[in-house]
Amino acid sequence: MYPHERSLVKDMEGKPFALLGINSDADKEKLKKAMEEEHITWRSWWNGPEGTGGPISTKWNVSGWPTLYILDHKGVIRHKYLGSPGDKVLDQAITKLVQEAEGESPKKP
Amino acid sequence: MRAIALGAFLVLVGRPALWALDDPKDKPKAETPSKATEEVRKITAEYQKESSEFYQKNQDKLKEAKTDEERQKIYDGAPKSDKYVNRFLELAEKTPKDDPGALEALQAAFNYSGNDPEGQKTRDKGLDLLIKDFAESEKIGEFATQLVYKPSPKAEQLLKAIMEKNPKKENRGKATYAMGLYLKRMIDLGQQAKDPEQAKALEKYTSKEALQAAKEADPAKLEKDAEKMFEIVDAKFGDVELYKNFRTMKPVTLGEKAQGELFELKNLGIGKTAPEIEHEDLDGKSMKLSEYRGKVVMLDFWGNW
Repeated sequence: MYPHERSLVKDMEGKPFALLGINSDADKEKLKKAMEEEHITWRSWWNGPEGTGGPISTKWNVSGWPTLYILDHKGVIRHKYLGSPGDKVLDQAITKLVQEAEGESPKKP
Repeated sequence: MRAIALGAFLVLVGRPALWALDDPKDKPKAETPSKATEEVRKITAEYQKESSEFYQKNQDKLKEAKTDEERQKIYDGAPKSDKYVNRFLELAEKTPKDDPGALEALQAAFNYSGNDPEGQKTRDKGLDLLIKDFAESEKIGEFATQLVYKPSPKAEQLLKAIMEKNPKKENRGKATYAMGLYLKRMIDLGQQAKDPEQAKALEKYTSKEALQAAKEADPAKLEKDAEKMFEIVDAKFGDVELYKNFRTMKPVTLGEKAQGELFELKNLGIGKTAPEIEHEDLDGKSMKLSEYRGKVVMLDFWGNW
């Protein structure tokens, strides 16, 4: 998933899109090393020292990792996936919503 | 390790605690395992050995694979579980049902069964036996929640049978909770099947009958039924322990789980405005979801394991 996420962030540069993580690693230091190696640049909340039992994933009732939610520019949940549905499905869903967002706030000349 | 599309495997990663329950150290009264139990372990070990040899051999190829298609091609070559599943079934058939090995063999048959049509057929055979002889079994509670991950009408039938017939409160509670999860899974399946690209992927690893049922069902009714299940769980079985958090060892009860499910049904469905997330980011800085309003957001609950 990292390679696809990296290209997604790159392709969407300058567009109204953000990839945000909720990270459930208990060991933050070990994680940061891995993030450097994998060039993970997008921002993540930390789910805390309880790892998968932390407060954010508990509130959102997450039972499997990864779980993905796609929100439109108004903050409405438009898609959710337990496990990645595949790169193509994600790309299509996001592209469509980004077009929607751009359609509503056309760039002024 | 993250890009796993197969639901069954995802469960192994996401719910280590459920599996920890099977750890022998949790069972202080070390009974000598029956012959059938030993046989289950032997067959399991053989299959795991064949699988792990395959993945070791293909480790580099998997890393180099760039697209889902390339990865899928490699996965398609993995050892088939059919012959092992058949051995589990044969073992279950010849083992007296009061021998713990019989139920263990059927559970293994379910858990290792493949998702192609052949695998589904063998899985159904095992489920028939479970419905007929094991709905009242003392040890079937843990298994109830696993049934959700390979949905089929027979899996649903087994859940119903456990809910109605099992004499132990704990087992009935777990089955009721699992039934709520099952209905919720049906909502998701119906939703996903609307997207042609996803439908294609789903057909590969979901029972045809379950997919058909999900497509035909009314999502609003499923939602109401699921809600009812979780409300029953919270009211009647709230104090039953489902598992222990594997890090903190704190018990997680059916009540907590049911409340989480109810929150999700009411607030985290498609079309609902996402609730605020306000916590620290990985650098300890405060971060709010609402700051990203105006942008399309992909929220990724992830871990580097």
